[in-house]
Amino acid sequence: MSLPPAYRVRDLDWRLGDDFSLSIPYLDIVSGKSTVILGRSGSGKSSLLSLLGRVEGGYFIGSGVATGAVHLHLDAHSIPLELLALSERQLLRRRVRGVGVGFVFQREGLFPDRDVLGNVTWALALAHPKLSASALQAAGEAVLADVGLAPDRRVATLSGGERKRLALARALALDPPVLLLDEPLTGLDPEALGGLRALLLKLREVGRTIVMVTHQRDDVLALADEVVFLDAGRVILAGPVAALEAELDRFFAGEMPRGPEAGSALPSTEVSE
Amino acid sequence: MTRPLLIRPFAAAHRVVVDFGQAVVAMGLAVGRAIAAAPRMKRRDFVEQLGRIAMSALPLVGIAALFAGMVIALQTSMQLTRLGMNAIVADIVSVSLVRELAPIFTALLMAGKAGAGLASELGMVTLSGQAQAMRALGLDINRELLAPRFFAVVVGTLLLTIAAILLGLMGGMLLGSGKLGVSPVYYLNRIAYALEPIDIAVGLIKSVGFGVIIAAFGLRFGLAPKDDAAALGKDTMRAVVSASFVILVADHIMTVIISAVLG
Repeated sequence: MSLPPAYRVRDLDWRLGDDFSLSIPYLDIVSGKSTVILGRSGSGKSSLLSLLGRVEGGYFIGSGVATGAVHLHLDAHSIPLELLALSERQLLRRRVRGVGVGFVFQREGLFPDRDVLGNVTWALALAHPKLSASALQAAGEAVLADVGLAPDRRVATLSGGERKRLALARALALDPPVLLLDEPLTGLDPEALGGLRALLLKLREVGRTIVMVTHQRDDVLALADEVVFLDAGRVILAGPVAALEAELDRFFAGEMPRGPEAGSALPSTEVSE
Repeated sequence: MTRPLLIRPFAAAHRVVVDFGQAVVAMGLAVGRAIAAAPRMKRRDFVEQLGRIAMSALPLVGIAALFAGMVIALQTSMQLTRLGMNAIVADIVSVSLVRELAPIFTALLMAGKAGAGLASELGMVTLSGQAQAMRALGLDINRELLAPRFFAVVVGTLLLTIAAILLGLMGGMLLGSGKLGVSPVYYLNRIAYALEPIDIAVGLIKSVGFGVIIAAFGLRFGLAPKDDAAALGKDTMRAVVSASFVILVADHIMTVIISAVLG
């Protein structure tokens, strides 16, 4: 049985300020695969990712009204959720964020007043209130071992690569089927980059749905199954990496690839299926 | 586009009214969410915050109250000596401290300490991306951050006002016995005679109101979106200045209302 797409975006129109809007009539994100979103700076990559994770806006400030639909299928058996219809309270109650969809930000947002283990177990304790303290600690330590971090380190002493790994461990601790990563490999030294890339490869191999924003060709070649090109808030091309090698070459040579019909969005499933 | 000269003042006034309205809505939203999250709040978080807020401000408020009590007693006695009425120093000191001075200076000190602390702590959480990370992890910001801090500031302001009243009265008594020759027993008797339950109710109800004001401004400016560290400093200062100003205005309004209701 083929899995339904993890995300089905339909007729999305999201105005962000006076001169920019994200307008996506049709986009599917394939389940169990790694999708990379590519585009110039300001093309709407992070905005799209934040909407897929429903972490857009701030505490007081909404991010404008998004119309259309973003359906999330967490697995083949669950009922799809229409994310745009869910309020903050509903997102919390249904544990869509964290347990359903993990998110790693470019700016990690680690909790400096907690140690490395505390960063991982805070949300874990909330998601699994019946877990004993020792079970929580064991679960946290297991995730930290996967990313190669000592549990008793202080956040302030972590290097850039370690901070990224902790942010990933924090998201992975809740074991979300969908993982959204906003430039997780940017600004790392070669050693840290290799370690984190290997970790992401492992996640990809076990069939977790990964959606990642990046600017690096190496990341695309190493990690991506699918690619989505965004330009000025529009999807101009989407499909499997293997089918879009020429467009990838053009993109990394500094040109935006052209869609099959200039100016029109391409349904990704038509390419990928 | 440049606006015509005549329109500009109206546009500026419109902007001020809109900004003020938005600030009031944001504060109401934050306070409402904190109160709504109270049943979900972890008691341990509240106790931890209360301990931190109350204990850190206690030396400041306590010493200020002690000296305020002494200086009020001194100033009052200088006036009353001319009339030969030194015996009622305790009456005046106690009523003015309980009804007015202890709640107001505790609130102003708390605005500077707890209000600034709240605004800068939440501001740092916002600026560093922790608030967004909490949302992404499914953590309830209202339950985890807002509710314990809101109630800790309100309860902390109330408890510190009670401490300020007691220490202020003690300061007055020390000055009375040391400088004015009024015995401590007589001083305490005068306090018991002068103070009515309404005086205590007025002081304590106002202190709760001041606590809500301090917490509301701290939450509002702390959680306001920020682009850089300069905004963090500016918002912290705004939280203190705005809360102090509103406390002084609210003091009068609350005194009038409470006196009208309770007599």
